Amino acid sequence: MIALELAFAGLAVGCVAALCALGLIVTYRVTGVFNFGFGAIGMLCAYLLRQSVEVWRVPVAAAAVVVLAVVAPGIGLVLDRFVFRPLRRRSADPAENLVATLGVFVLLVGIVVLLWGIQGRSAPPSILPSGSVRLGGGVVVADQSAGEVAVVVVLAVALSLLLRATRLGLYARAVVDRRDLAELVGIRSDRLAAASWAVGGLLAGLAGVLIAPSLELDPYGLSLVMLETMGVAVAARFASLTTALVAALALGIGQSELSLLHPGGDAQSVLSAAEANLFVILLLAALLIVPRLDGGARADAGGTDAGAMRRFATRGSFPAPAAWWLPFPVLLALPLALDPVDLEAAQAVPALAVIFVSIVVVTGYSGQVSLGQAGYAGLGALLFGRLAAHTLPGAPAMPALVALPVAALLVGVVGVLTGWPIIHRRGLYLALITFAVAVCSSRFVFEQPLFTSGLSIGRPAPFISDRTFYLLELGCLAVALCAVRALHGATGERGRVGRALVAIRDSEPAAQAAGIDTARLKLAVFAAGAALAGLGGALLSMSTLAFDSSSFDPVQGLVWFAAVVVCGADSAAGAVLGAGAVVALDTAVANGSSTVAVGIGAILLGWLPGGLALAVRRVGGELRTAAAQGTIPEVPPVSIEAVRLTPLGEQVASRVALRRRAITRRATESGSGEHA
Amino acid sequence: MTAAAAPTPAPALSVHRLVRRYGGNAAVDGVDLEAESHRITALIGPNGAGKTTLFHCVAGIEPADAGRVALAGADVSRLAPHRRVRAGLAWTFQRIEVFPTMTVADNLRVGADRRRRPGPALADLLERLGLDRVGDRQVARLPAGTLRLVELGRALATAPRVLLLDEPASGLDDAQTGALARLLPRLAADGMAIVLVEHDMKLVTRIADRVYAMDRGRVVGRGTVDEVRDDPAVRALFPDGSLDRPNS
Repeated sequence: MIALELAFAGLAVGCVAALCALGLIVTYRVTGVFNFGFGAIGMLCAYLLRQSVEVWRVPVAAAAVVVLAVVAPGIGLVLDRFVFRPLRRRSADPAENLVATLGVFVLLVGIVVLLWGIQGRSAPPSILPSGSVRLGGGVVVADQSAGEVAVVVVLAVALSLLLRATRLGLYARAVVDRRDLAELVGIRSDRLAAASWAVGGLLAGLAGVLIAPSLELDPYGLSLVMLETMGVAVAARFASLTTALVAALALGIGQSELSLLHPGGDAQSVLSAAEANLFVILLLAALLIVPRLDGGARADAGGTDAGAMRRFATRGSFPAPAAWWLPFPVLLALPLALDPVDLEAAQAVPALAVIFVSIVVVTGYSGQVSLGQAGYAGLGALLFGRLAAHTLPGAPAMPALVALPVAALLVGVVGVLTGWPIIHRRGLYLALITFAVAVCSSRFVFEQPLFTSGLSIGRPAPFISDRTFYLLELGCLAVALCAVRALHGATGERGRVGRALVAIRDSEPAAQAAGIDTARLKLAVFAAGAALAGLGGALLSMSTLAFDSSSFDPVQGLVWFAAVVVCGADSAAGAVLGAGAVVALDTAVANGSSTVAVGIGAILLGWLPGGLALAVRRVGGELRTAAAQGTIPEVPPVSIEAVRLTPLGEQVASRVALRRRAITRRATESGSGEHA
Repeated sequence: MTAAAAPTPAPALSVHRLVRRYGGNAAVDGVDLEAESHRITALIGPNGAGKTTLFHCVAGIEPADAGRVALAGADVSRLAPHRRVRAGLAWTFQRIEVFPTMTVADNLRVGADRRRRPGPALADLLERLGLDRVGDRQVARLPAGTLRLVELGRALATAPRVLLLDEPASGLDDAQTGALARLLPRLAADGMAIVLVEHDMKLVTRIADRVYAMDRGRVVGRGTVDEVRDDPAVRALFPDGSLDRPNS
């Protein structure tokens, strides 16, 4: 009897997973885009529903209609029109789409953090009735579960019919196969894509609103719970709606039934961890087992996008001026002069910079999209804490200063072990699987008391005070940067290894043809990246003197990845500046503002793939060309008078105008002011 | 290993009974092929004959289902592609594969970085291919014909003993094709074994010492240019007469 009731309770979870999977698959099948942003869309809708009902006092039904019928599909439409249609129009490659959807994810998470804060909020009301139905044999089923099952089954059948039996479905398949040919025979691919984004938005919103009542509202947690259900879509190979539905419901029921087992002891804690994270296990297992993501239909999705990250390359186009790096040591040394509170905040910068540089090495240089650096960073922090406190089983006692590099090396070993089975994967596949590894480390290690209870993080002996510790951090960053610099050779021309890495990023077949052992080099870089991330993670935990699992949340890892790509995927200098900007924005403006900035930047990457680093290089290059010709390029005047501004906007505008007037005056005085 | 017992030196490249299947279809169906040093061997045949698949199996990019590939008598069938490069094999791709974010010179440098034999100096190689003027240009902005030469340059930079070229003349203009037709025999004269897949029959008949004709995964004819021209089985593959003697 209990088993049956549990099964129904599990169906509710399964339904939400099914909704997520349906949304992902529909969008993917029509547009070829894997929408990482769906988790954040659902989370945002849940927040909006709560805000409407509990703050604005709108009746639940009305609020649900507005959120689900207007806002959720509306987000999908806006994303299609302003982000993905421009990318589609110029046949952007999968990596660009992936980064854009990550940008959407990061932007929405940032908006929610800005508006409602990072701390948890009470759950929104359920949009389904809260009574229960009594079935035959004394089985009681909540209306909610029954309602969810009904909603999902109806939606799944409708979507299946739409995709299989109608002309619309045929058109969708035609567009996926060859968009150009489909348009030649008169199919309006943009409308189809817009419709699929609207449906994807609606399903994500529905899933978010349905799952939220059973959880606490929290921007990272809720979006991550939804991302974890990706495994269902992967198991269905982004193709079969039926498989997705069956897998989701089966897993939901299985998860629920596991709570019947009570083995006791350590097995109990393992079991409850597995029970709580069954979808994470499925995600990892599905990714390891499923050979291709696309059901054989799309050539560009899982396999052949080698070298796609080269779109984000910044090097080669414009030469850097001599001694360009000189401002960096000065900037980085500045916090030493700050007062203690600001110095404390600044301590996160070098630690974060080391983690960012690890992403540059793995993704920017060798082109492997690794979304899992947060996992390796957290592992570094954990291992360092255990080694320094002599509580790692089997490890010899060692001073904390030795424990730091040893922890980084051990994370490198973990990098080899986790990288080995996946090193032949690339593109979206590698992105998803590295993300899954990060989720697993978070769920099964960082959040388990078995590993983290009693863990205290201290600083190594002579570097106890904030000021001296900051110096240690700068030293570690310098080591990381020197290692990266060595890849380029001493003369600024890439060294042998650096050249081989870029060769792999640009074209793996060509790299093999040039005699490069691509698998071994990729694995080495992956491991080196993991070790660097571990070092950065250990420093990050030392700066706060605590191991905080939320610092190494997989969602945090996604934000970091997007931040690095925005700053210039293969620019170590950009990574250091990015770390500084992220910390400065969050400290000076508001928590979440850096996330919003990164999200906007990632979405804009469609127009400037090289990110900020390329922009700086380009402007610098053009200025130098102009200087060589003796002219200064004219900056077009910006008119802000035509725009109606908020009071804050007015303030900013008046300041800008003041400054402009000052500059103009100076220019007139120096005698070159014809354009004043 | 049995080949070593023969009194004559083993050919630079020998392929023995190579099979490659896709599902139930054999794209390469028991092909035997030999390419000797100082010689240009051409592989001709209609689209889908299995020429590119054969190249991929020889290079190790695709696994062969059966058969053996040997370089100068040494079996390389089980080696990864990069190990075959070290053993003296180099190849170019039908679909151009270069490193677009690098300069032309760096593209060639990647090939030279890992060679263990003495090879041509970079400057000489650039000059030989007529790439010396674009050496410091980024590859992404160069026309397709030049990219073919960049690929060839990268292959040559590894100092190969056997060179596989998959349609090296496609995308080249007449002048570049002419330059290629002069360059390849010179490379062969230096001792290289060159195998090329080519649809430009004028180029093939002009430079090839030996021709293999393939159809549906099998070798249907082999010999000198004149011999295959007179082979009815091979002539049947070229109904447009592109294999005929220019004056006939």
